[in-house]
Amino acid sequence: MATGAETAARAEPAAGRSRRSWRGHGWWVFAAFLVLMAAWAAVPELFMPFDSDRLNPLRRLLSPLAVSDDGRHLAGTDSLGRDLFSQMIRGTRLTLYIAVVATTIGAAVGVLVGMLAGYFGGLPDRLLMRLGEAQTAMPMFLVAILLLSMLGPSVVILIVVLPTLVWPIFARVVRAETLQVREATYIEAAVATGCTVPAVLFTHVLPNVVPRILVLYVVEIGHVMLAEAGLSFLGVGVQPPDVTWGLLIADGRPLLTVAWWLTILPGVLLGVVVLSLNMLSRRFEQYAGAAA
Amino acid sequence: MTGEVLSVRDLVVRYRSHDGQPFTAVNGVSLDIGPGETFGLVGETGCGKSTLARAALKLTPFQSGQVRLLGRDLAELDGRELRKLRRRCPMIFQDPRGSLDPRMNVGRIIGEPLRVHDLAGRRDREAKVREMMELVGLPDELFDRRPVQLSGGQQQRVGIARALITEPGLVVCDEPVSALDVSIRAQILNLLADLRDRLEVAFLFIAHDLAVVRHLSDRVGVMYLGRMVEEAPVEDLFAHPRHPYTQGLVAAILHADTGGHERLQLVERLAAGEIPSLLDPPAGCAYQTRCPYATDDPCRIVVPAAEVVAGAADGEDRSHRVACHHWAEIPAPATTLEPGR
Amino acid sequence: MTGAGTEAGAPPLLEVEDLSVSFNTRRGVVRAVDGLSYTLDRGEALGIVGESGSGKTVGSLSILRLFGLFDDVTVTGAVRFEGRDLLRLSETEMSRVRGGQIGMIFQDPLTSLNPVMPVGEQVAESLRFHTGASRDAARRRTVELLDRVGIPDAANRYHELPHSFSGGMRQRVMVAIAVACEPKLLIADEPTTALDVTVQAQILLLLDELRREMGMALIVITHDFGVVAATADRVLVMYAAQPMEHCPTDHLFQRANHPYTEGLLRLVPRFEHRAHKRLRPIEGQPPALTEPIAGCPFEPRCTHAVDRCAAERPPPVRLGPSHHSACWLAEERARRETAPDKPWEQP
Repeated sequence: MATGAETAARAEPAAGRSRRSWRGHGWWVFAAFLVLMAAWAAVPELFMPFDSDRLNPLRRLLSPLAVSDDGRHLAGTDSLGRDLFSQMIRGTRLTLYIAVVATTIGAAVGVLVGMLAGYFGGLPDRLLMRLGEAQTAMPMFLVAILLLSMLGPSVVILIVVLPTLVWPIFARVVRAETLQVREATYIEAAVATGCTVPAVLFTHVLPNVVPRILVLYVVEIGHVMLAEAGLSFLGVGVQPPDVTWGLLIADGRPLLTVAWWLTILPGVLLGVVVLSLNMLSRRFEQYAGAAA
Repeated sequence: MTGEVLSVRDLVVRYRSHDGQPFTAVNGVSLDIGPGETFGLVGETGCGKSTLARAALKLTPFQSGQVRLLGRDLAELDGRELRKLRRRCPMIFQDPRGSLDPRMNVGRIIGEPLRVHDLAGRRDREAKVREMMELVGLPDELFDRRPVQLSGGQQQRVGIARALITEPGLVVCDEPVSALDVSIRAQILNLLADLRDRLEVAFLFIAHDLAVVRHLSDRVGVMYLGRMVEEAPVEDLFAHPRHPYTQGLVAAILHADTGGHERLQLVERLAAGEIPSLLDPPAGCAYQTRCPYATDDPCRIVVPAAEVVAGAADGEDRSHRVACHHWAEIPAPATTLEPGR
Repeated sequence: MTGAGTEAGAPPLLEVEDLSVSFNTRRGVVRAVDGLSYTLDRGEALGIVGESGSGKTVGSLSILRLFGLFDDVTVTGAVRFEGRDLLRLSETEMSRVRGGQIGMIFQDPLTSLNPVMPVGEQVAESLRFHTGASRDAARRRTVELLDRVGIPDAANRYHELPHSFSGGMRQRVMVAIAVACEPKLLIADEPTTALDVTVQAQILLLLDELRREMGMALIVITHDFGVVAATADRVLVMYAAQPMEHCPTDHLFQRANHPYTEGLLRLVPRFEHRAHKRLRPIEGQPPALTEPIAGCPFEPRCTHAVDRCAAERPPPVRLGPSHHSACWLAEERARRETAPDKPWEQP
C-alpha cells in the first residue's frame, strides 16, 4: 500500500469516559449501614448501652448526648427515663422482621400471580391483573387500618395485612418481565423439549426475572417499613410492650414540643434505612442491567 | 403411508392478526418425511414454513388436517403423551443465542432434555453431555460457560447437542445457519450432515434460500403464501424447476460467477413485485400477482392443484409435484441452469 | 498506488489511505480497521466483503465519520474525497457531505427511518436541507424519486408512515433518500441482508441501474460474494480488520489468490455444486481484535501457512494492474500452472 503523509484525526473527544467514576462507589456506605442494622436486629444486647426497659424517674426526658449517673445517653431519654438509643436498637429486630417477612410474602404472591398472568395471557391475565388494579384503586392503607382495628392489632395480623399493600406492584413488574421472557426462543425451546408448564416457569422464566424482582424487593422493604410505622403510629399496629421504630415515633408524638428527639431520632433512623435500601436497589438495578 | 417419520395431510393453520383479522398461514399443505430422510422446506417471509413446522410438532394449534408424527396421530395424544413424544422430535432454532437460556451453563442446557424426561441419573447425565459435546465439536472446558461467553457457531453447536442428546427420530431445523457467518455456516452444515448420517435421524430443514438446503436435503418443498407450490427430489428441483416461483428462487441464488446481472433481471421477470398480504390473499393461484405467465382464466379464478410432473422417477409419493396451471407450457429459463457467461 | 488505473492527472473520487480505526472500550482497545487503502473512481462500484468483525462496515462508515455509540475512537490515515480529507472537516462541513455528496443505505430500513414521519417528508427533508429546494419543488422531486425507485402509486404513498411499507418498499424509500441529492458516492451497508431473496434481486438491480443512470460510484458492503458478483466492478476482501485481497470482480472467480478468499469462495454457491456435496469450511474462529496480531491474521486458520506468516505481517503484493494480495505466498500462488480448477470440491 502506498505510504502517504501520516495524518491523524481524533474523532469527537470523549464525553462519557468519566461517567462511571463517581457513580456506584457510595453504595457500600449504605450497605455497611444496613449490615449494622442487621447486627442490631440479631444481637441487640451487644450494642445496647443500657437496659432499654429500665425505668428511671431521675433521668426523664434528658436531651441527646446528656449525661446521667449511668453514663451518656446518645439519643436522650423518654418520659419514663428509658434510654432512647437502647430502645431504638431493641426495636430494630421487630421492625426489620415485620418488614422483611411481609415483603417476602407479598413478593411471593406477586411473583406467582405475575408469572401466571404474563405466561398464559388471556383470561387469567385479565382476571388477576384487574384484581390488582382494583386493589390499587382502593385506599389500601385505610382498608388495612379497618382490618386491623376489626381483627385486633397484633404482629401476626400485621404480617398478613401488609403484603396486600405490595403484591400488586410485584405482580405488575413480573408480568411485564414475563411477557418479554415468554417471547424468547429459549422458552419455545424448553416447550419443544417437553418441559411442563411449572418447569418452564420455575427453571426458565423465574431465574430470568429475578434480577428485576431483587431491585423491587429491596425498595419495597422500605415501603413496608414505612407502612408498618404508620399503622403502629395510629395505634393499630404493633402494641407495647413490643417495640418498633414506628411505635417509638408514636410514643414521642405528644411530647414533640418538649422532647423533639423522641419522634425525630427514630424517624431519622427509619428514613436513613429506607434511603439505604433505595441506594442498594439502584446498585442491584445496575447489576441487573449489566446481566441482561 | 406407514413407516413415515412425519406425515402431514391437508394441514390448515389459521391465526388472527394483531387487530383481530383472521388469516390462513398454512393452507392445505401435505408432506411426508421417511426415516433418515431430509426434507428441505423453502420459502420467503410469511410463506408459512415455520408455522407448518411448529404445527407439525403441535407447538401451535392447527384447524384441520392430519399430522402423524413418529407413528402417532397428534389428534389422539393428550398433554403428557405429547410431551413424551417431543423428546423424539426436538428443534434447532435460527437465533443460536436467543434459543439458549442466558442464566444456565452449557452443560445444563445440553442436559436439560435428559433432566426433563428423567432419562439418566445426575452422573450419567453429565457423562452423556460431555460425550455429546465432543460429538458436536465443543471443547470440554466450555461445560461451565454461559451462552454469552460463546461464539455464534459454538452457541449453535450447543443447540444441536441439546437436540440430539435424546436420540431423536426427527429434528426440525428452523433456519439453523442464517444467523451465522459464511465460514461458520459451512462448519455447521457439515456437522449436521455428519450427525444425520451417523445417527440416522430425519430432518425437516427450513430455510429462506435454496442454496443452503441444497447441501443437505433429499427432497425439497417450496412454499408460497401458505401453500406448497412445488416439491421434488433435490437434484430434480434444481435441474428442472417447473413453477415460475421456484425458477425465480433458483435464479435468485447469487452465484459466485460472472453474469450476475443477467440473473438479477431474470429474477425480476419471474418474481416481479412483492408478496401480497396474507390478510388479503389473491383469488385463484396465490402466485398470480407476480407471475409472468399468469392468465385471467384459470390462474386468477381457480387454485391450482398439485400435479405429478410426467416422467417423474420412482413411485408416486417420491415424485416431482407442482401446483401450477401452466407448468407444462412454461419454458425452462436457460440461465438458471447454466453459468451465464 | 492501489486501485484501478486512473488516467494520469485526474484524482480519483475517493482515496482511502492507510486508514486505521480503533475503539477504546472497557475491555481494551479494539482495532476495527487496520491499514486499509483503496481508491475509487467516479462511477465505479467496489464490493467490500468480509464476515462480522472484519472491519468492512466500520471502514466504510469511517468515510462519513459515523461511529455509532462509541465516543472514544482513534482514527489515523486519510480519507480524501475529491481531494479533501474528510477526517479533517468540521462537523458542519461534514453534515453537508453526508447525504449530500455521499449517500448511505443501511441494512435495516425500519430502524433507519423515522417511524412517526411520513416517508415522503423524510425524502423531501433531505432534499431541502442539501439543495435548499422550496417545499413544493422538494415534494415534486420526491414523488419522482419514489416513483423511480419503484414505489407504486408514489403520490399517494407519500403521506404514509414507514410501518405500512413492506421491508422491500422501506429499503426502496431508503434508496430514494440516499440518492435524492444525486450523490457522487453511495455507500450501501448490507443493503439486502434483511430482505427476501427475490426482493434482494430487485433492490440490487435497482442500485445497479441508478448507479449507471446517475454516474454514482458505489461501495457495497456485504458478507456475500454473490452480491458482489452481481453489482461490483472490483472487490476488496477484509479479514480481522485488515485488507486481504483486492482485485477486479471477474479476476476473483478465476484467479483468487489469497487463501482466505479461496476458502470463502469454496463456500459460495457455484453451478458446479451438486446436492450432498460436502462443503470445505474454513476451520477455526476469527481472532479477537483486542489482542495484537504480529503476523497475518489468517495464519491460525490457513492451511498453507509457513513459519514467516505467524511472525511478520505480509504486505500487499501487486499481482496485476489492480490485483493485490496480502500474503507471503502471493507470487508463488499466482505462478501456479493453473489455478485449481474446482477448488470448492472435495479432493
